[in-house]
Amino acid sequence: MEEHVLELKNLGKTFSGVNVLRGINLALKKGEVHALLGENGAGKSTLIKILNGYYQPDRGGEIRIAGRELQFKKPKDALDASIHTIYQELTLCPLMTVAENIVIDKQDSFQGVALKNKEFREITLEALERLGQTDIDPNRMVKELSIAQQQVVEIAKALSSNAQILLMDEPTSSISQKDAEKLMTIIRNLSETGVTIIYISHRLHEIDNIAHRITVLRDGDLVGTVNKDDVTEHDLIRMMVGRELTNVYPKTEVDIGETVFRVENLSSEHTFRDVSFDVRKGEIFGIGGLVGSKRTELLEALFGMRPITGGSIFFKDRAFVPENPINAIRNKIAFITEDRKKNGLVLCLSVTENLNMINAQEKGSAFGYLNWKELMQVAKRQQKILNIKLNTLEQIVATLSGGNQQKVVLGKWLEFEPAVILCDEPTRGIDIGAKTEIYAILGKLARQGAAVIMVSSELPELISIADRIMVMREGETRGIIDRAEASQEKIMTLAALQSVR
Amino acid sequence: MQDTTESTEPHKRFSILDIIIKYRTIFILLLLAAVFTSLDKIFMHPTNILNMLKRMSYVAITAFGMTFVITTGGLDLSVGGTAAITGVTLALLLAMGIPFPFAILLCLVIALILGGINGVTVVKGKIEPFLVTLATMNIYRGFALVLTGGRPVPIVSDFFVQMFGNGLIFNVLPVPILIMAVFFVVTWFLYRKTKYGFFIRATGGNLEAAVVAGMNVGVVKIGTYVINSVYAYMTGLILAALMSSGLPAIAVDLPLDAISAVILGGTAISGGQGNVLGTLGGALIMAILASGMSLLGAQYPVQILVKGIVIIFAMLIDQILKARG
Repeated sequence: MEEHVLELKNLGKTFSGVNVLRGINLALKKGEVHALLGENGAGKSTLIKILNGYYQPDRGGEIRIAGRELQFKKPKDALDASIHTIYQELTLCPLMTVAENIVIDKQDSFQGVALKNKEFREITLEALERLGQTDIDPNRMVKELSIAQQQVVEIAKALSSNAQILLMDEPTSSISQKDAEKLMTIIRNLSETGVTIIYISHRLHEIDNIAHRITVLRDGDLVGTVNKDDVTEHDLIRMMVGRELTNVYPKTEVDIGETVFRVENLSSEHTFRDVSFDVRKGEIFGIGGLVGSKRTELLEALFGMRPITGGSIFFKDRAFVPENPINAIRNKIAFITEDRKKNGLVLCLSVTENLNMINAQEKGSAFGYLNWKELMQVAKRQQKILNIKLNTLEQIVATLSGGNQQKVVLGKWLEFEPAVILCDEPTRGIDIGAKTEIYAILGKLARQGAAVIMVSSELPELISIADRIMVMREGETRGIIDRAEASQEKIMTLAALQSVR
Repeated sequence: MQDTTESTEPHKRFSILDIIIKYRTIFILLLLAAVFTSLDKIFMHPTNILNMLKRMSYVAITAFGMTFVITTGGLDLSVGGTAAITGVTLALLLAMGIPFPFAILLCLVIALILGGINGVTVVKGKIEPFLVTLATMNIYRGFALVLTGGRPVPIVSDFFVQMFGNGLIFNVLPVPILIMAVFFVVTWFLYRKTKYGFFIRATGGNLEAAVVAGMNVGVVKIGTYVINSVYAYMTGLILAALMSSGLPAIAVDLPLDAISAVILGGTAISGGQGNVLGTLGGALIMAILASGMSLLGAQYPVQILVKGIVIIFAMLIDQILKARG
């Protein structure tokens, strides 16, 4: 029987009652490049974090390295088993040299009093040579290297620690096309020398380029493991999205009116380019795309949080330049941000205070008496409309559940009756029940005449809720699809493939 | 996925421990008072108490102002310098024969400018408040010293000395205590009941959320430094009156005492959660410690040593409570 370098049996992971990964069985051969594919939230990152020891799998799951069962209690255990990870965000020390970075995890090199700089250099040169990257000077400071070069150093660091299995999480997401091709060559060479690579990427052409086998995950389940030569890109897309739409996604039917909001050739340097679309009264305009497609950045620019370097925005046929959020809000634009903890809520304040965050600004003078009784009434009204479950309105908002917190984020904008609502992943990380309620609220807002622009990575959500869907890829518009013609395959094709025929 | 703390049902258990934790400032106060009273009965004598309150008044007032700054995540080390400039300038103006109301107003204008310099440098210069006010602390102090050549300037107006320092209301209550009480009420109102107070708490609680909500966080922050400077100005007036002179080297301990009082009162140094009543409690704790130890014959060196230890312990207790959730 063939020996597997890495074998996973019935691996699962549950976070506070939510099962995000189930029954993963996978066996990797020595020297194979194995691609891991799936939509955002399919469980890829969780699986990687189990493999490198950051998370412990649920009881009953097994990890076998070369036939031996191992338990990773901490990241160091995975490293000791020769599993190394190259993260999206690089983890080198920018103010140290290449050589210093490469030896930093090798404790044997630090015996004695003086640093063995000569030995460090040799280790570094040897590792870089294995990668065929001798143009990197071991004495250079890491911050002077390009991102792609830093990535090479990161790989060299792993190799010099005798890495047998490399986990690469979207390694090409922040480097250029040319550098990505170089990286592909490096990966191919490594695999020939017997290093096993688990490769996560959304870019199907890359996977097509280097992978031997592909495993597709969907909603925490392993859909299948296939040989690359047996499938087409469209098969893979079908495997990634194939799921039934249920009545989780109620669509409120609305008569769509005139155009309220129009964006022409909008650009923001180094982020997105030439984005054009219009949104009509009562419409929910969806924006789909993968991580890194710069959808959040687009919304930020529309809300005045990011400089616009080209193009124009028209609001009710009037040219409009959002200089800052104050300006955007004055024009009745609301922004329901993606991360409620980061910039949606003030967690240490009460529900009432959070619900009045926008509303209170129009009340009275700065040093005058703020009528909290009146604001409490506002909060009470929103709490009823949104069905926020709480003990008292004085409750600190951090003590609410995720879904109820999200409703508070929505609620703070409702009282102000926005004309345009920007929402970024409005249902991220909340349970199905709350999701459905939030769709109903968005539908209601649209019916009251608001134009809703919704960024979402959840395809069924986009297809069911949005009237039209714009797909973005790496800062560019790939197309706008009508609701009637939208399918998950169509969106994924636009979002993931480099070019469309 | 981390936040599934459902809390839809009302609280059931209220253990004694919870109550002690919630009102810990009060418990520490009572405990200290009890200990010192048992060691020396004089501690509870009205004269001693009034004396103690009078001496804590100016630290408390500065601490009230500091509560605004710290709530937004800032810090102001320059309040001692501001207080010194206020006292010195006032003394010089009065000596020049400028009428008392004008002198006081002119000093207020100077204080507003000093606070504005702090705030604008922090916000527009995007420099850490600690660094900015570390520098202005020296600048303001240096200014006070240069103005007077380092010498005290006697205050010629007995009216001023009575009005802000040595006067007694109904022949019992020292004026500084009344001023402290007025400032406490005003601060509490500003902090809890006005739009500006709300903005301060939101800005400190989550700067990014405040930005998204369309608040002008820069103006909010600058405002806290200006307000704080006005409070330091009041402190400067009281000190000048108590000393009957403008002393350029006065109030060196003031910023750290005020910050200590704010922190002891439960305001988070990281911003967001502030508590004006707590600040009053914090200032009271420090005053009780100082007064009690003086009664027991402890000298200044021992007093500051104990003060430091108390602050460290208060922080540790806070940290432990936070970890408990």
